[in-house]
Amino acid sequence: MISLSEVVMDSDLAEAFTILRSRGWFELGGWKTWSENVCGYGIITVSSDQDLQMIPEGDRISGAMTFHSYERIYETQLDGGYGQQSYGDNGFDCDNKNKYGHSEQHVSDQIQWRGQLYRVISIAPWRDFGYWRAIGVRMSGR
Amino acid sequence: MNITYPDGTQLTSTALTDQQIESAFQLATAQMLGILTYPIPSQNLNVLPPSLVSWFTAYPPVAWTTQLTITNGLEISTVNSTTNLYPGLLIAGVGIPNFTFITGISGNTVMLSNPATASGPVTASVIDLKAYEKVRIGWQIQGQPGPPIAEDTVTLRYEPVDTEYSKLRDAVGTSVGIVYTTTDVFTRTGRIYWTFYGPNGLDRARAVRSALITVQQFADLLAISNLYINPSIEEPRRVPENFQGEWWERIDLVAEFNEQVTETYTVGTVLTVPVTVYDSSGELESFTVEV
Repeated sequence: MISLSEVVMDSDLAEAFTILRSRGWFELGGWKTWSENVCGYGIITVSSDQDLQMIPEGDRISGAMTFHSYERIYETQLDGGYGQQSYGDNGFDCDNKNKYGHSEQHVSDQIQWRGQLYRVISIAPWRDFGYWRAIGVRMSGR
Repeated sequence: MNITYPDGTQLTSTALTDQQIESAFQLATAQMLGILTYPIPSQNLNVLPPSLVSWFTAYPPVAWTTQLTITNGLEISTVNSTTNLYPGLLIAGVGIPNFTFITGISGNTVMLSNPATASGPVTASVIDLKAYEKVRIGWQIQGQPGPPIAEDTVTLRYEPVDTEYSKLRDAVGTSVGIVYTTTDVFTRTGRIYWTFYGPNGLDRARAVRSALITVQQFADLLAISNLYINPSIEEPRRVPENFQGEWWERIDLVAEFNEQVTETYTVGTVLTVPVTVYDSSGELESFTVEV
């Protein structure tokens, strides 16, 4: 298959962003996470304009961006998605297990770009073409 | 919760937070379903009412151990019995490195994620780190991974309920020196909603309902947190969901409970009163009265 990763990472079009990845586990009291930052680089386009919502409690701004990335971006997954062997890997990830024999779980990545956080809500399965396309919605109040 | 008002009045309340209530029911539900929850890491105890920690003293948890024979340098061990053993369990014992997990079982052979550092028979502790994956709390801020369709899980959540009882207050005032204290004791009512998923959801919901109604041990457990279940619990409702081309077995269970809350208001009393006397010609006298 044709790899479009060179296009996605074309320096004339691409921008840097940060992927905040939350691994987690279930504990007494609820879902606990710890996050780490992964560098992302790719073309960013507008998916949905930023709209102002005026509600009695205060203004909110909604909107969504599309991120094209060579670095893998994840949605919420239970029992799999990535492990230590496949973490950050753009290649094939068949077993979804880490070396400890139990799967890791995580919630959707957050992407930080130009001071705003975007929560990933949709990922297109285009890894065979050498990149990931994710849609992130703007997170307010963060 | 403790609050200081602008006039100096201090409020102290024993009312549990929603997280504390959900944690207490999460622990109770896990035990009602027979899911092993010991040991609770010490850092997790801070989400519980302090008194609940004493539960583990009153009802010592069953030690979950297994006998196995390890060989130095090998990731393969033999066990006498594979009962209650399955991949993913954390296993700890002399000669077993920290953070070693069971990765597979074949016959009486157990595969470990790390090679043993000693040889011989070992009594090892086994911990299911995924116990709370099976009993979860809903409405997490960042969301949480959903359960697989074939796995038995339950998610619980709490909400307060307005009742006649929650409006009545028994207030008693006491005065010690210059400090006046009002103690309000009242009943707060809440509901816990359990949502069971998985093929055995109905049976598990029935088990939780029965345990809440009949097993004194769990009434005692919740009473430590001043929580008292109303035994009039309706039968679970079976409400399968259609999601992405499959029917997900879903069972709903609801129970009401009362929480005894004590709120104390500490009010500073008046020490002195300034008095000024006037007539038509103006101020006559000014003095201070000490109380």
